[in-house]
Amino acid sequence: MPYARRTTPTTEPGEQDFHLASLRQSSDTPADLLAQGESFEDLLASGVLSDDLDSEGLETTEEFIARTEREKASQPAVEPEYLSDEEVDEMIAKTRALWPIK
Amino acid sequence: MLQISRIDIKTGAELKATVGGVQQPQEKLVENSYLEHWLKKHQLVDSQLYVGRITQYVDDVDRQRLEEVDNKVFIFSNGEDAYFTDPDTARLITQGDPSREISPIYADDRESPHNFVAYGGLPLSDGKTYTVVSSTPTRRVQILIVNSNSKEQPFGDQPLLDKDGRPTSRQQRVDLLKKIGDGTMLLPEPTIKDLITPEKREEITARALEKAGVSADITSITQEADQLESALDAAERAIDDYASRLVTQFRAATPDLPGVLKGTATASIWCDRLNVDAIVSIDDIKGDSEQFQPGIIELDELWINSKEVAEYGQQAVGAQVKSFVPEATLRELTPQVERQVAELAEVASDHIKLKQHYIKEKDGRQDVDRPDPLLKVLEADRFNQLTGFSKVNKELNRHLQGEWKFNALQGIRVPSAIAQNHDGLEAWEVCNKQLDHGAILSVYRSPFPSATAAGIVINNKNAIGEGDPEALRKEGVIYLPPWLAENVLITDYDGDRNGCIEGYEPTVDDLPEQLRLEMKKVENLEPEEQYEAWRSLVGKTINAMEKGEDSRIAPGAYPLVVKEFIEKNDPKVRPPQIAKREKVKHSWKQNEPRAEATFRAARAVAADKIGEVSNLSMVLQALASEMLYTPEEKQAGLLKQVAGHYAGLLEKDKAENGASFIPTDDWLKEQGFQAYRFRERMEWISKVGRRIDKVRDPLARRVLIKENLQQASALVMDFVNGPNAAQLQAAVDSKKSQEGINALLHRFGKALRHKPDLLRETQKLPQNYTGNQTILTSTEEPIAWSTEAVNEAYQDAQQLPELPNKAFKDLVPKDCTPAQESRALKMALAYNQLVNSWRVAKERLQERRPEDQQATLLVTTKSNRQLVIHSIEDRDSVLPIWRANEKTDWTIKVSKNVQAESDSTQFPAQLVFTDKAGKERTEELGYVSAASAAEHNLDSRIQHWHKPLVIESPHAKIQPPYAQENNADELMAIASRYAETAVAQIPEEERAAYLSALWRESDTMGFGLKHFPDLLAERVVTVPEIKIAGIQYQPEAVQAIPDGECTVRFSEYTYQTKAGIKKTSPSISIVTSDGDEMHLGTIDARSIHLPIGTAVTANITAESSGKTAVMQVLDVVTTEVNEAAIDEAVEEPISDQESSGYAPTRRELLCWAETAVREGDEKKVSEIIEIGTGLKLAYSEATGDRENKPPLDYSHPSVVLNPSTHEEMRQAVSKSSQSAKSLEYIPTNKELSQWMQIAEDRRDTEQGIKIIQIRAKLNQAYREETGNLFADLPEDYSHPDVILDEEQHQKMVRAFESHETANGIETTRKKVKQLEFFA
Repeated sequence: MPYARRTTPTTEPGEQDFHLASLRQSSDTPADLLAQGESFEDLLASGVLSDDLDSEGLETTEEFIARTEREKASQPAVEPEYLSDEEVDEMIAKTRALWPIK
Repeated sequence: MLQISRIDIKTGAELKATVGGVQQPQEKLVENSYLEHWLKKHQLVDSQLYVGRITQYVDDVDRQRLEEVDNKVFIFSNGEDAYFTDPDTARLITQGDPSREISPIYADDRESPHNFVAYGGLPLSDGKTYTVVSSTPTRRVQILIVNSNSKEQPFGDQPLLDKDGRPTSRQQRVDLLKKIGDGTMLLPEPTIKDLITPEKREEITARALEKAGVSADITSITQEADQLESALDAAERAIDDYASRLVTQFRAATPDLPGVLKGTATASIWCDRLNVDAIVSIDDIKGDSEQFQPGIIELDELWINSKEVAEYGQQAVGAQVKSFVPEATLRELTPQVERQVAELAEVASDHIKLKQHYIKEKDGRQDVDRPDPLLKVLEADRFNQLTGFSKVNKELNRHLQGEWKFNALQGIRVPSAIAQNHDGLEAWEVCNKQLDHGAILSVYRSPFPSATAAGIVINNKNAIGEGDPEALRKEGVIYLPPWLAENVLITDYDGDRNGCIEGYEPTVDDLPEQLRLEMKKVENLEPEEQYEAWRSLVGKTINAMEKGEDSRIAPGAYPLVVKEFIEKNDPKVRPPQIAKREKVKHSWKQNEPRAEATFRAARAVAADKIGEVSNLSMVLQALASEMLYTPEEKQAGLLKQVAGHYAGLLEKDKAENGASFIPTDDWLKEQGFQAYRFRERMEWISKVGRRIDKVRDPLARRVLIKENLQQASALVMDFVNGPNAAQLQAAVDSKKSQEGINALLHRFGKALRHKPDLLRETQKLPQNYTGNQTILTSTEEPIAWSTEAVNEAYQDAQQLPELPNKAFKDLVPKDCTPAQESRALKMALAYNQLVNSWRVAKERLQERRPEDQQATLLVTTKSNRQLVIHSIEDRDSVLPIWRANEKTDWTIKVSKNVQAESDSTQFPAQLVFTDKAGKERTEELGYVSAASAAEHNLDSRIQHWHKPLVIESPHAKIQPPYAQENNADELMAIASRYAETAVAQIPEEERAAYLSALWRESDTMGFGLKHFPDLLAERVVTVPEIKIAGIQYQPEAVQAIPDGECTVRFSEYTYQTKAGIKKTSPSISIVTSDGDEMHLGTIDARSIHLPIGTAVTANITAESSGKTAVMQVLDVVTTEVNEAAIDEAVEEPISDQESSGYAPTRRELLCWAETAVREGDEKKVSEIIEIGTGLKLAYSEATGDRENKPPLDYSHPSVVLNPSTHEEMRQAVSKSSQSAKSLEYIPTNKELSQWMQIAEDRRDTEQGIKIIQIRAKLNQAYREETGNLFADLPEDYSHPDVILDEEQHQKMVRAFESHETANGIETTRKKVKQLEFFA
């Protein structure tokens, strides 16, 4: 369509804003609100439930792999000292004995 | 209604909000609460109540200061909210006064502090309505208290008599006891009827009258009196019927005794049988003085409110539950989500389809207190006239954003109902009359700690219907047997809802009865053994069905979810049952003042931990799940990452000098957990990670990687299902227990995370699913894959097309007086300003700046310079600043910390003052804000003098934290109340004129849409007259216009302007009798046009000029308009023009436009806007980026200039680059001052500093230019060397724009904004 242009959701308070505010104003405890069927996600968004997800210092797997590969590339290439078959078998056996996998 | 003033506990400030330039107190409004009744009862209605937030910065000294300085005594808390009142009222609430026959709210005993914190929310728990059951001169109120936990004397030590004074039979008592559980209250039907809201009564009455064919206006004289009387009788019967089926969440209390009751109430014939006013479970009563004992007690009155009426509803199923059923999520839930988002993507760019979707979604789900104006208008818009209207698009887009979010995070909804007790069910049965008799379900309650909390049950309606028909009449409820509720679902009956995931549906009528028979052989076992036998029986039945050996059940909505829960509860793999820890009541130490003990408890429980513990569980599950689901090629990397992380943890743990944070087995066993050998398992996995590259054999390597990832996953899940599940229960109980979650365990759980979970970290960002922003993921597992499926569909979805607002002006023609127009605009702009204040506060608060949470000190020097001190620490509570608002005898010393990590801590301040003992003290105060430091050039001053800045005897004013002064909820409520009140004051006969006035301006049309939906709905029923231009070019089509009605289709016409620019305009085609379509002319830009492809019948009249015509739409042609018809309706674009001219870049257009603006050539500006809009559109179509502007060097072959226009632009650009630095801006002193003011208003310190620096340069330039060091800068002064770069310029423009929007100012800058260059 020739006249399509950017539209963002309105900045006026909407249904969800009023809902989140009502959760914040509720006299019920967060536990009560959850038990009464309020969604966990709404309670998080409203700030009634807090999260503590600071993951500073943690890398995604992709970042981890990229970093370790960079580090490896900066080291002189060394042929690893491979484990013997017995040592490998022992590793497998110890892994299986470590904790029962259900 | 109670009006409770908001205060800041730290500074004692009574918080204000600015409405229309006037400061008003911030208030919390509470309706129909017990405290209001209690205050009235004791003639204390004039007592003022206050509420303040308990933040991490609040301590007991603040409470004492409030009491001693401000006469506000702490009484109770509810979560983060602490309530205060005057000393006398506080004493009466907490201790009562026997001499005045006043009982305290909770018992005046050693548990008083505990009760005022654990149950602090009950006295102020609001209700929709309330009633008071009062004694009569001949009969006191009689309440039967039942202790269903006591097998010997549940009704007390006196015989339970019926209304005729005869002893009740054993069977009768058993039948009654079946109904009673924690939270139950039975009431006589008339009492329940009193709790029905007037609105509900009106609704029922109107329905009954309509059914009887009687007008709802009962004063109408045209109605027969008999007919009316009979209809009113029918209405009353309908209300009685409703009352008999109603279950409602309640709070109750009697001023006669301490204690507050909570639970769910319903009408029961048992009250009549026993001649009592209520039958109450003893578990409902909180904080009493043990005067409520089993048996009948007599009272003067019983106050009851009704909070939420039970209704069958839907409950969203999110990661909390889905994490425990990854297989079902992958194979059953995600495919459903994919279907839903495919539909969403399809409707997203099509107004008509989206409208239908919106109406379907909203239908029946409307909030009765807040009807949806858009729904009303859209439902009436049968011609789809509002297609492309920006105000409608914004609301529809907001709805869409919610739908994308819902699908990304939850995606399914299941039936839910309020839990009620019933002992007539077996341990494996529930009764939800909304669902099929015999349906096999998973039932759960949130928060969901582990798979053990998913009940595997069958819906047995007959068991209740046959034994207790009264119970089966109730609406919105699910009956649970007590063992299941207590041991599996952890549900009580005070308003808890259970979600019901339907797995299998019965194919026979008597499945529950058949399975009861099969369970007969285990009836003598303990309930948990019977329940396990049941789980096993259902599992076998499902297996048999799958093999075709049992046809009594068939898959229902979510068979895989239920099956996975059955498997996860197999004793061989089942996680440990969550053991409830003993609750330890909040203490009251000897000699400790009551308020201090209560406040200590309040502070301890203020910060809720459920979110943190539950989130940790979901993050760890995602990580554990990824270890099992990640594709093989990524497994080695993942194992090394996990192993390396564990090695790091072990190393860190070793370094903590014995304060290990890895739980030992002995400690775990002490806490009632299994010995998980966490350390040993982590050591092994880290060892394998180190050695895995030394395994040469690829097969052995694969086995080791896979099995050690399984081991790591099991380790993490053991923590989730064991200690963390117990932590969640501790967090749930934390308000009622002084023992919260174990910090060590929580730390260990957080440390177990080997990578971030971006889904959980980004899920609540407000900008998700706007522009190109989606929720991010960082794990390879079913929950994240489900979100990614939604993201993919979102990226494919197109935006709604949009037309200029002027195209909708004809919908509401101008018909108002200047006075009406002025009042209407004033109203709408005042509302816009309030909304803007709310938005600014909301966005700022979302940043969660630490400095916004703390009070600041505004210091004014003798020479009237002001600076702000922030991050004030008063650890020893000695600073005399907390009520400061006057000239002081203090000295403030500001020094510079060269090692400070940020601008905001560069200038620490010390306070020198005389303490209460008359001794001079010097204490750390806080830091000078970065903005103040920059404004007063502290850096060079302190450096210049080589000593601290000393401020003697300043005026000091303590200011409450930004976060409290700018309570976004309060600002939103103020804006809403303002709009409601203002609109309600418009005389009915003037409403149409007001709407007409509002419809004249883009900025106020939204207000009209929102607040006059009824009038707009009336307008869109017909289509305003449409003007058609350019008909002189289509003689054949003009000849085809009949005198009367004809069929036309709305289409598009593409042509080329003289400037060589391609343009597409909405147009009209005549549909001839043989089905051909002839282009007639284009639609005037100010006229409404219907969606392209719409065929209508219309009358067309060519005007005398022969160039234009007018068209009156009569009706929509009902033949279906298919995609092909729409495609045909769009004329082929002029393809041979593509790339034949010069394709300008956005940068060139920008320079050209600036030159045109500078020269005041409005016509040229409009032309450039047109080209710029085309370029923006081409960019978004080419890249899918609908949110961002094209890059500066972007051009597109479809947006071209002919040679002469190109030359014109080239010259303008050349002129522009010679005369000014094209993307830079030379600000005036006035502009900088205004910008600074806006930054200060927003407390935008960072921006403020930058502006100050620019102003300093301008000052310097002026001084150098004039040689005058003291003169003030003229307002219009600017200097070519003092420039704003493009980014700064944009920031300034944006600041002005949002400020102007707030103030309703229209400037030329708005026109420039249309260029989309600055937007």
